[in-house]
Amino acid sequence: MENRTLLKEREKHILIKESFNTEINCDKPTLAGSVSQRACVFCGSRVVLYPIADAVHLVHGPIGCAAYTWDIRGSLSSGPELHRLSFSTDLTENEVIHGGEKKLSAALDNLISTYRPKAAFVYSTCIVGIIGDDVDAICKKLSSRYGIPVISVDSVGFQGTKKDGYAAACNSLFKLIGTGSTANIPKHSINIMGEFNLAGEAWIIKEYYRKIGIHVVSTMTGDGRIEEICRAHGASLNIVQCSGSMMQLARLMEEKYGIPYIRVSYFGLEDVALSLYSVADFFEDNPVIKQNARQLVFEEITKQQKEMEFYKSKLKGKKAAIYVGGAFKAFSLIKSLRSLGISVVLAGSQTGNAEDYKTLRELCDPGTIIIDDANPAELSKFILQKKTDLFIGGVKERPMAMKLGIGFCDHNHERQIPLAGFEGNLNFAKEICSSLLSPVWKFTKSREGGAI
Amino acid sequence: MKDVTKNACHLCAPLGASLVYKGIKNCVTILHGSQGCATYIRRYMIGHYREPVDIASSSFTEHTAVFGGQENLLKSIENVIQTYDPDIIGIATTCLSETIGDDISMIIKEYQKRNMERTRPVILYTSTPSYRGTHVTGFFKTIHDVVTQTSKQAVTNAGQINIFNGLFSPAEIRVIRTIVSDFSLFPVIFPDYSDTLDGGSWNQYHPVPPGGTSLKKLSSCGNSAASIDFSFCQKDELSAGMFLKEKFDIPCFKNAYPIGIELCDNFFKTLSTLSQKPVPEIYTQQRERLIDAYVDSHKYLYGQKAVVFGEENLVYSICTFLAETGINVVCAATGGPAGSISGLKLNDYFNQTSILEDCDYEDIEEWVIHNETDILIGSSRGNKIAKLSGKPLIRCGFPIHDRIGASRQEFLGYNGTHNLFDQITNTIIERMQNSMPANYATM
Repeated sequence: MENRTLLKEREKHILIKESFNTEINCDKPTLAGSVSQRACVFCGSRVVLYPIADAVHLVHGPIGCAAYTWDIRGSLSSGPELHRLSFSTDLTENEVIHGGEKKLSAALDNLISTYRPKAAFVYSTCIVGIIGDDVDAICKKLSSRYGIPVISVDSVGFQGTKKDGYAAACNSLFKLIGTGSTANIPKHSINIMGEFNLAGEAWIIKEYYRKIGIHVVSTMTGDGRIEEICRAHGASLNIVQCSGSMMQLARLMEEKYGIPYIRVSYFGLEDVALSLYSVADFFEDNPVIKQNARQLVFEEITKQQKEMEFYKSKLKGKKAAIYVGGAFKAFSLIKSLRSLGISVVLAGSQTGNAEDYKTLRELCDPGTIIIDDANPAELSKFILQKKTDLFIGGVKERPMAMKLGIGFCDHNHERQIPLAGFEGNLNFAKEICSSLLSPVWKFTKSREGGAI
Repeated sequence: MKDVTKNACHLCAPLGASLVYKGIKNCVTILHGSQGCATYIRRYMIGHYREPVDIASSSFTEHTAVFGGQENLLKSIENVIQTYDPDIIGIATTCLSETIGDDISMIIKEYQKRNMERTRPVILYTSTPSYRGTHVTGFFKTIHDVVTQTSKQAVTNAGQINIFNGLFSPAEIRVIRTIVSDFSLFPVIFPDYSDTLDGGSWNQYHPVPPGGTSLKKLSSCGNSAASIDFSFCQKDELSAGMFLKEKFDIPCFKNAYPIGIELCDNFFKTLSTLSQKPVPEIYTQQRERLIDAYVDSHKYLYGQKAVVFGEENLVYSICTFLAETGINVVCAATGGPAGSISGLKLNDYFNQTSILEDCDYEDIEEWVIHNETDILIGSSRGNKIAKLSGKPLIRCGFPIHDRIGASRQEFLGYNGTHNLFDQITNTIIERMQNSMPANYATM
């Protein structure tokens, strides 16, 4: 063990609150060999566009990229489920040598005539970036052949980080926006952006807006439909949840269509309430909306107060570590955990930028470790050092935490339980409790169990 | 050749390589390519094994793709040494590094030149572009390549035999070890991820989990008296055992996964021949019990229609086993290449088996929708077909992402077959019971 050390080059990606006067190193390509928890450009595009349920999503490249992303998000659809299928041009050696354009064209012919989708997305993977297939030209040709949008997503794996993949996805969506009719869109209308309908969360949020009197034009991209996205420019306001992935699109829409945007979050009571209020404030010409929002927040909080008190009594004083994809989610989690009496001892993200980390520093308690683009060696070291009770992360972090006798809550895109909105807040507390209060930990080694 | 693959029944070759490297003691994998490859494969393996899986990546950027991957790979090696201090680094290529034409052996030579004073780690590599073969061929190729790079021959050790595993579960690797040891043979088992991918709880983080085949054991492969190689459906060029046969004249027995009486008998007879010992009583008893169970259950099973899908070797063995029980294998499907299960001979009663090779889950779904089926046997990726058709799915193979216990699944040997057999029989009985108007108390 003594020969193992953390990487020197990564030191500046890690901050401890006492030394907060230094800047964190972030928004950089991953250090080779550091075992980052990040994926690639393709991953960024794929996760953002994935929930669009009436389009076919064709991955152009060898089989891996499509196979590993088959039906991996818990994004629900109220209708078609084309997004849950995995399509690949499955390029083999011959096509890598002679080019994959013919196969791509044939694949699109096959998919569009079989499934009659409302659009097709073609994701370029690493190989395509090297062999130089003219994906745009093929998409154009197929688009005019079938009369549907066929969109080339520039998601070559090595050309940047996951964030560049988000940007490519935003560009693809932006191509669709503005092509549909905005007839009959009421004045008090919004687009919900960066909400992927994991476990039906978009439906929960939409129901809130319906109740307070706001019309939702499109959700990008949870339970997404091409037609709705095409008319998104008819909305009066964009509300951006997962800001890491969707801010670019919000900015593009502001520039071109003059639609303002606000950043919101639906995790934790405080942020859910704030989000609803800030949207209501935007539509101040109709004070009924604000009244409705107040009423809704009051009712929902009252409804769960008693149960939440119980969870709080069980969770008070526990320590949590958070490691998430985008930093914006971490802000809400810190507030939400704090309201449960849980302190955050480590907070990190795969793709946070300087501004995100500034906010994170302001939010965190003294002594908190802040970490960018972490790896298992760093995460495991710090969660043990900080005597963490609970880890909030995704599948890759789960076994690490559990091996070390640390409770776990999956807050990533594979979960089946909604954690957004008021009911999500309750589910969150319940899930944390079910992990932390489980009797199994007493047998684990790190809790001095284990031996006979 | 299809125009488009829909819900692939195979994964890419670097996953197979990563799995093999997890079976080497104190070894860390570097995938030479984009960061995503390593992360996706980690996620996929973690979902199945529910254990930490650290895989490093040389994290290509645009610059790397233009100027070659040498500096990134060298940097990854340095960083992995610093963080993990491994005895072995296993490098596997990806489609990206192969297409730009990186020469890994040259880069390793460059590494050695720059680090003359270092005695460890040993650097191994394999070429696994995802546009060639599948995770299964990647798995066997990596076993082959590791053995070609590590094995040496000194003095033949009469009691030592090589066991080159198939895609077995950790529990199955433990079973194979016990069986071989019970013949008083000393096995070199490779790959052995029985501990690295199925361990206990920890009080400190193990960057490289304990367990695996040691380098010392691997290099002694050339001294073994024989090899048993489970790359049964693979070409000889992917067989480590066949390599040792050619290079050191070590006899090689290419066995199918031992599932069912016939295939288990083959395996036990091989061990009996090699050890010159009769099959230990404990196994003859297990065999008798299995036959007894076949007899007890034959009426439930006769003519039941099964669809089996997954990697070619597992499909081959499960179909052969099912045919012994009177179950009618109506469809045997694999994402493996054309010809990989063509050797499958099923019993004479039912000669209507559809063989689907190089297929995807969409092909299997189509088949199940248009034909009569009673039971599905294959990976958890068949859950969509199970839901759609309303047929029960017995989960086996890789991946199993929607159930617990994939690491403990044990279907090899007489007892392992018995586990699978009881599961299948009870599933069929349950269906019969539920479909009858009376809720019979005895079945």
